[in-house]
Amino acid sequence: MRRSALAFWLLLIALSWTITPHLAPGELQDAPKTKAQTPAKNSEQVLIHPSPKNIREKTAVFVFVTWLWLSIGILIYILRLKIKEADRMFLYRYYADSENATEPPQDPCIKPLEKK
Amino acid sequence: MRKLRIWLEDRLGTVPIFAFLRKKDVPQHKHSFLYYTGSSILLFLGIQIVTGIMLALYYQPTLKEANASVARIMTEIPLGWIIRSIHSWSSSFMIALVMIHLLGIMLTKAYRSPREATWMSGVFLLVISMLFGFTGYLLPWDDLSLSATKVGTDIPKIIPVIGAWATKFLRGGEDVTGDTLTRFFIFHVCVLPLMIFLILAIHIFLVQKHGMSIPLEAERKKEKVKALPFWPNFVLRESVAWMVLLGVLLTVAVILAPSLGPGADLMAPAPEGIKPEWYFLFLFQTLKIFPAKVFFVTGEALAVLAISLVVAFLFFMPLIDTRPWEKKGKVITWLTYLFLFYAAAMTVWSLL
Repeated sequence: MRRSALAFWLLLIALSWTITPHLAPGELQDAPKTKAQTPAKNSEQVLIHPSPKNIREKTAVFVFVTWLWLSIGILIYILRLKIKEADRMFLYRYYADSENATEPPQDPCIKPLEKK
Repeated sequence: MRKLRIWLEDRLGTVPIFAFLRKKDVPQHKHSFLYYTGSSILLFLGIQIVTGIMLALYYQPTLKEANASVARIMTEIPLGWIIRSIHSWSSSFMIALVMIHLLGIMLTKAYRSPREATWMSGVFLLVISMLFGFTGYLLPWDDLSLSATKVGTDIPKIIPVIGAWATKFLRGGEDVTGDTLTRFFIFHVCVLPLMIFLILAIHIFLVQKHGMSIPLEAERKKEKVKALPFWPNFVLRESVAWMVLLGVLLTVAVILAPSLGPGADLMAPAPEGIKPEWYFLFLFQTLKIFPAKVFFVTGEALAVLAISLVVAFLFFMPLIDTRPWEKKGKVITWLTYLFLFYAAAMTVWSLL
């Protein structure tokens, strides 16, 4: 049922596509009747390249890009530390509900304090 | 500070949202990188909004001033050229990521039940993103953008019944004029942003409602997939991806800033080598390769029909591929690869 409906609609679309341009070719191929608005003549305008033009600007761009990547590198390093910390917390189920929480693995180097 | 937080939580009702985020898990598997594309799209959308607002402060959408105002942004306004460059490049990055996101979903068959509506809203978002690119391309009002818009707005003419009207509506008249410019500006800054926010909200809601999909193999084998908490583990990982993408964007924007051509002349003939943005190149080439007439149908009409059918297939794909999740869906996979190959080949051909 769905396939036949799909086929019907596809056939209808295909037919309308092929027939309609022939029904009203004049309308579709009409040239603009109204005169278009004329733009402001600005003969002195040329292609504008925003890239740096002299050596000073070029150097500034490269210094900026270097600083940018250096900052990103430092930020990523800090984020990696944070990820490790968050993963450790998750592994030890630090934020888990108290019912589901299990004992975190004990560090063998640390001896628990003995109660006096 | 604590009082302010409590006051805000009481008024805004954010407690359940944060509780949900704290409990939200993100599956970890070999396709996990696809999850990062979704959030990165949001990053670029945010950049687009911020830089777009900054540009709109100086841009004037009139026939006389459009090109001159962009030239002013690039030459007189401090850091104007880089803001424009970031806006332009982030739009390309965003569309590329939307395409990667959708292709990934197509290949992993994540569009299948119950995520059909999520997929459809995603295709809508791709179309809206491309429309953003199309409307934004005219705004600098130089020769190239004018000619490309003339070609682009000519295409709907082929659509039966409403085609001629659609072209007239887009242009605000018979030809591309200052009215078209104003119209495109309104679409670019008002209509399309409203649409994208609405559909994005629906899309994000649906993603949260149905959860993130896991690979078919894992589902088939009923494997328990490892999961990470969204906060803070996944968000921190996302931040790394954002940093890298931001670095790439700024580097490209600084080194390859887009230039601006001389103001468009409506009476001048179309310049040679008209090319749309890269994401329209394969469609542009498809239109070019069709012969003038195939039997009694114009080649252009046939090309537009073929493109429309592909878009319709893409949109309705979850309703066409209704097979249960156990099935691999090899046909769709091969169709995706075929489409990728075709799009890449056409794009390269168009650039040659």
